[in-house]
Amino acid sequence: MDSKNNHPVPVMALIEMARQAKALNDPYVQRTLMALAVTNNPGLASALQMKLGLRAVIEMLDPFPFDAPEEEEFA
Amino acid sequence: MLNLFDTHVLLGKVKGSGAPAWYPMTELTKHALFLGATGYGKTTLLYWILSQLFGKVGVWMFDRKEDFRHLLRLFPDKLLVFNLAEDFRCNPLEPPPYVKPARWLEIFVDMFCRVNNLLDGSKSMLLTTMAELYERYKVYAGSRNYPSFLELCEALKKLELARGSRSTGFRDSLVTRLDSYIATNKRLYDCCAGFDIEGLIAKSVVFELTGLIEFQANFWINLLLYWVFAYRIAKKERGNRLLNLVVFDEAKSVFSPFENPALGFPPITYMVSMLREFCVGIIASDQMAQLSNAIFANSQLKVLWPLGSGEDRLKAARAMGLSAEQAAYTQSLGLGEAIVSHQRIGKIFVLQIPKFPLE
Repeated sequence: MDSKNNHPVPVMALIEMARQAKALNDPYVQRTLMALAVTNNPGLASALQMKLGLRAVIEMLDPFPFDAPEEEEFA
Repeated sequence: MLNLFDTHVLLGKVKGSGAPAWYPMTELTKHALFLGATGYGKTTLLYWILSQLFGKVGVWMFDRKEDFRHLLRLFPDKLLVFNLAEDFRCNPLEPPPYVKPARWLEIFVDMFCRVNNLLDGSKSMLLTTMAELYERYKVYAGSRNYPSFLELCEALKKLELARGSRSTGFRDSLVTRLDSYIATNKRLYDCCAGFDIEGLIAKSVVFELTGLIEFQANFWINLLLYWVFAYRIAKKERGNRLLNLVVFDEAKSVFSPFENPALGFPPITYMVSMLREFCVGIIASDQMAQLSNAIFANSQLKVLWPLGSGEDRLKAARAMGLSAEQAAYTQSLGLGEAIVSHQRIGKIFVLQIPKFPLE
């Protein structure tokens, strides 16, 4: 295995990614994060950061395009 | 959280607001359409809806994949499961209670010819032969003794027709179809008096179609659908409530996009729009959006999961009135998420569906 891939991900970065994943409420990111927590793999971390970064930009440029009705509206 | 379980079903949670997404039971009489590729969660949402309706209304589920029998583990006292190929008995020529034999004759012949793609000549021959059998069995006079499918086939074979005439061709088409039904499952079609279908109407019943060849499965779905529609309409129980819910996948087997213009508009088109007055709801699902406009136009609740082809996505997006951004989002849906067009509240939102206890 490449020695570079054995380098652990800083804990603070993991916490930050967990916070962002939770805010995005994205199951894909959360699953990746779980895999990351198990393997502590910087390759995965890098892919995840890229996805989070892209999602953050997309969310900023293109807000969630759906209604979000409240419970009272269904009654 | 509001407690609306007496009058509504809970679909899941709204993405964005986190609010519980309710749907009024009575609105199910305005029908629902679920579209999505296999494996994205159509069955999960069905499990949630059905589990809230068992014991409250009659639910008939047509099942090609033995999905619904698993619900027996949670509802052993509320669910009946029949496998049509093995342990079901029904005479298709017996009209439902309250339905006049002449009306059932028309409905049955039209349905049979559509399912088997038979045109006018065969249709007319089937109609007259069945009418003669009804006369012979004194069905019009009120007898409850009915000819069987097997006897219908024999009566057609015995018709005296000029060799090489067009009528011979029509008869051959009919007999070939009927023979293929009987040859593959004689026990199912050699039946004069079957189960009390009326007794099943208020119950939760799974009709499993495994073991039947595709054209037979389509025939039985259509037959039992028409049965419940004709029964409810003839019984004239109108009102703003849900009495029966009918659930089936492969919606194209009933709402085919390839209607033969020579056969005119199928009765299902107007029956579906009439059903809401007669307290019957449909939940139809399919992996593709290539369906008859009758079900798009007549479904008040539409739920969309990712679809396999661009053409399907386009048709579904148009039918649901999605914007380009919303349509594009379809393919980004997470596991357990679906797009909902909820016409009663006039909103389109993303529904989050939790796992069902059986999964």
